[in-house]
Amino acid sequence: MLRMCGITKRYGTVVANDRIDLSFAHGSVHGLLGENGAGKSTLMKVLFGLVTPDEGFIEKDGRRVEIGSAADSIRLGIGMVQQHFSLIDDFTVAENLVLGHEPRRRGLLDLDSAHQQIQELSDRYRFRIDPLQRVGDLAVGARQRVEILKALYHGAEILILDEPTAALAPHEVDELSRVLLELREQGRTVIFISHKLGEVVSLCDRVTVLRDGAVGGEREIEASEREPGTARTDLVGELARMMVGRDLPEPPPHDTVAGDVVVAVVDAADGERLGPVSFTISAGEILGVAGVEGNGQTELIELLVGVRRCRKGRIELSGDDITHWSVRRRLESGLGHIAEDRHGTAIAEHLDLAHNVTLGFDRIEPMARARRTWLSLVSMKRFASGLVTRYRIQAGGVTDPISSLSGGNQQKLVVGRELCRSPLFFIAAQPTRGLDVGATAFVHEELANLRRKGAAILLVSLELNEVLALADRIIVMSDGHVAGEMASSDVDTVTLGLWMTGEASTSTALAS
Amino acid sequence: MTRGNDALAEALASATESIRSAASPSGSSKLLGSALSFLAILVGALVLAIPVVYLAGSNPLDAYGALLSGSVGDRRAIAESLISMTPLLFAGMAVAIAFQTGLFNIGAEGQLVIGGLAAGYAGASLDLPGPLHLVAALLAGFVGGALWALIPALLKARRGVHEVITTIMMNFVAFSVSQYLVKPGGLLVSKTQPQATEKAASNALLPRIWEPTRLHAGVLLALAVAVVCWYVIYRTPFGYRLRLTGANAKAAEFSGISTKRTIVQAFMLSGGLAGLGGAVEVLGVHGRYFDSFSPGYGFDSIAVALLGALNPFGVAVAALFFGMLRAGSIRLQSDAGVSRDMVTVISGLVVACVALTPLVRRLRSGATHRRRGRPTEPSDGASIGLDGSRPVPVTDPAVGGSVGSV
Repeated sequence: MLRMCGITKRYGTVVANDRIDLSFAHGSVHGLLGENGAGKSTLMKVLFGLVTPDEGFIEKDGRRVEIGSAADSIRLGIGMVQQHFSLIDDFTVAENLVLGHEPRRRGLLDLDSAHQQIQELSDRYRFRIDPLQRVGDLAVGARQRVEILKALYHGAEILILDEPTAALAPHEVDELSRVLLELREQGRTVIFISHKLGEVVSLCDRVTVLRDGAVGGEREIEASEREPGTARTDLVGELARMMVGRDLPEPPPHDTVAGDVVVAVVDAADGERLGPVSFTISAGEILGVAGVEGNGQTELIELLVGVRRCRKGRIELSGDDITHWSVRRRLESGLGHIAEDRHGTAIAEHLDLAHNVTLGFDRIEPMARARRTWLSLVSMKRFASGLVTRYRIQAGGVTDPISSLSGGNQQKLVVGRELCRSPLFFIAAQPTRGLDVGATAFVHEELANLRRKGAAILLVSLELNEVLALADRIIVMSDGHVAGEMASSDVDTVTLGLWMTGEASTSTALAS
Repeated sequence: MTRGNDALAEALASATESIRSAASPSGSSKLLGSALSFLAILVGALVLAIPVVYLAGSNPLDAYGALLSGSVGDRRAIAESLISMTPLLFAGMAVAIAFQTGLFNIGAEGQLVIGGLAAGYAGASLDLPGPLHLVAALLAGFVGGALWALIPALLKARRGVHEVITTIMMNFVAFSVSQYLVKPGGLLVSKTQPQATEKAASNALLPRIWEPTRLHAGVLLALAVAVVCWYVIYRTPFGYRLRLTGANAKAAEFSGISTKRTIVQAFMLSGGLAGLGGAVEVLGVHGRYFDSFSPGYGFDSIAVALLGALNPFGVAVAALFFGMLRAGSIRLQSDAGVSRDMVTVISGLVVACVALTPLVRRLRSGATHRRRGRPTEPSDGASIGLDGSRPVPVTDPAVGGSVGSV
C-alpha cells in the first residue's frame, strides 16, 4: 500500500497540486484522469522523486518514506515509464536493461546471467520479448514493453505509466492491456495516467480524477461497468463530469453580431494525421478549438498559416481560395497569427527587438524602402519602440536581444506585431501559455477588441477555461478530426469532456 | 500589401525619442566589445603557439620577429600581405554569409578552385575589347563558384542532405576535375605549359597598383565587395531573410520567408564570392590558371570568417591578419628556421580560441550570477547520501519478490 498525503506543490503563484490525498492498493490498476495542466504529471513526478513537494508526505506500507531522487524511488520499488522512451536503439534489450547496473563476473560484464533473468521475467509476465533483440528493430509497442520490463528488472512493484497508449496502435493497446492485467494478477500496482476515458474504464479497478490541481473525484470501477451497456455509459458520463465539471466562466458579452463568413475550411486534410476538417468563422466571431494536446491542433494551425501543405479540401478567406497561397500572400491578405510555440516559430531569440518586430514586414513600407532595395533600420526601431510604448512592454532598448525580455513581454511584442497586420483572420494559438495573470488579461482583452473590430478569430487552447471564457462557438478536436461543435451559450461539459477524450460515440448514446 | 499600413502608421506615430538614446550607445559598446574579443582571440592564439615554436627548436621571439618583418617589414612584405589577404577576404565573406544563413560552407576551397579555373579559361579563350574582358573573366569566376555551390544547395534545400558532407565531397570533386582538365591532353590544358591553362589576355588581367611590387587591383575589389556584402547582409530585405533563416528557420518560414529559396540563394552567393576569390588570384597574381594555385585559402577562410565574427568588416581585418601570417611564413622559414607549417598551427589555434569564447562568456556570466547570489533551488533531496542526518528510512532494496534487481 502506497499513500500520498496532503501533497502540495506550487510554482510561483500557480498551485499545481493542492493537498492531494491518494492511496494505491497492491495488485490493482489505478487510473489517473485529468486534463492538460490538471496536475497529473506533477503528482507523478513527486512520487518518482523528480519534484520535491512543498507540503505533504508519502507512506509506504504504513511507514513514512522520503523520496528525494529517482534513485530513492527505484530503491522503494517505484518505476516510471515516461511517454518518451529512454532506450538506446543500437543496444539489445538485455544491454538496455542492465545499463547502469551491469552484472559483473571477475570484473567482466556478465550478460549471460542477465539474459537468463530477463528471459524469465519476460516469460513470467508474458511480455514476448527476446532479450537478444536490438531495440531499434522493435515496434513501438514492444519498446514500451521493454521499458516496463526495465522497471520490473530494477525491482519495481509500483509502475507509473504516463499516457502509455498515446503512441500505440489499437492492437498494441490490446497487448499492453494484457500485460497490465497480468501484472495486476501477480500483485503489482499499476498507475495508469490517461486522457482516454474508454481505456481507463476498461482497465482500471479504481480511478482518481484530478481537476485544477486537486482531486476532483474518485471511484471504484465494478466489473459489470466495463461491459458495453448503460452502466458503462453512465460511468463514462460521470467521469467526464468529474474531469471537466466546474463553475463555468461567464460567456463573452455578445456586443457584436457575427457578420458574414470570413473563413471557410472545407474538408481540409494534410494527408497525414489531420482531417478532413470543416468549419467556418464569421466576422466578429471567436471560434474556440478545444482538445487534448496532440490531436491535430498544431497541424491545423500550420495548414491555415500555410507552412503545411493542404492535400485535400479547401480554405477560403473572404471569398478567395487561399488553399495554395504562400505564407507571405496570406499574411499580406489579412492573416495574423500568434504562434503556439513562441520560441520555436514566433521569434528569433538572438536577434534584437527591432528585427523581431519586422518578421513578416520585411517587404512592406516603411521597413523596405526604394522597391525593397534597402531595409530601413530606423523604421524597424521606430516600429519596435512604438509597440514597446503602446503595449507597455518592459524592455531595455529596441536593439537588445529579445531573449532579454520576460516571456510575457515577448508575447506582448508578438501580439502587438500581429495586430499591426490589421488582420481579418486571426489565429491565436495557446496565446497565454506560460503567461502570468496580467499578461493573460492583456491578451484576452486584445482578442476581445479585435473581435469587436470585426475580425474572425480562431482561438486554439489547451486551457478549456480560456476557450469557454472567450469563444462564441467551440469545436473539439480529437484524433485529427472535429469531434463536435457547440455554441458557448449552451455548453454541456459532459459532452465536451466526452468529445475531448475520444468518446464521441458515448456522447450520442447519452444524448439519445 | 497596403493592408498593414494604417495600423503600422499608428504604431509609428506613438514612437518616442527614447529609441535614439537607446540605440546609439549600445551600438558603440558592441563595436568595442567585438574589437576586444577579436584581440583576445589573436593574443590567445599567438601565446598558445609559443610552446609549439619552442618545441620545434626555435626561439619564439625570433619566430615572431621573422613573421613581423616578413609581413610588414618593407614595401614588398606589405604588398605580399595584402596579396594574400585578397582571396582570403573573398572566401572569408563566402563562409561568413553562409554561416549567417545557418549553413556551414566547408566547400569554399573547391568553389575557389573552380572559380579560378573558369576565370583562367575565360581570360584566355574569350576575345573581348578592353576592360570588358576582365569583367567577363571575373564574372566567369563568380558564376563558376556559384554553380559549384548550387549542387550542395539543392541537395540541402530539396533533400535535407547535410551541407558539411556535400561541400567537403564537392571539394574533392573540384580538385580532381580541375586536375583532369589541365592534365597533359586535357580539355583546357595549355599547349606550352602542363598543369595550366593558356595565359590570359593582357586586358583580362587585374592591373598592378603599386609598382614594383606584385600588388594588384584585386585587393581594392575585395574591399569594395566587403562593403557591398556588409550592406546586403545588414541593410537589405534579402540580408534580413538570410539572417532570420540562420537565426530561426521555422520562425522565418512562419513569417512568409521561403527558407529553401533563401538557402539556395545564400549558398550561390557564397560560392560565387569564393569563386571570385579564385578568379582574382588567377587574374591578379598568376596570369593563368595553375593547378593547385591555392595554398588552401578556402580552408583558412573558415578561420577568417569565425575570427571576423561573420561581419564583413571583421572578416576584412581577420583576412589581413591571415594574409600577414601567410606572407610572413616565408621569412619564418628562412630567418628563424621554423617550418612554414607553423602558420597552419596558428590558424588552428585561432579556431580553437574562437570556439572557446562562448565558454569564456558563460564562465564570466556565471561568475556574475554567483556574485549576485542567484537564488538556488531548495536543495531538499539533492543532498541525499551526503547528508546522513536526514531521515532516510529507505526499505530493503530487494523488496518483495523483485527479480534480479541490483
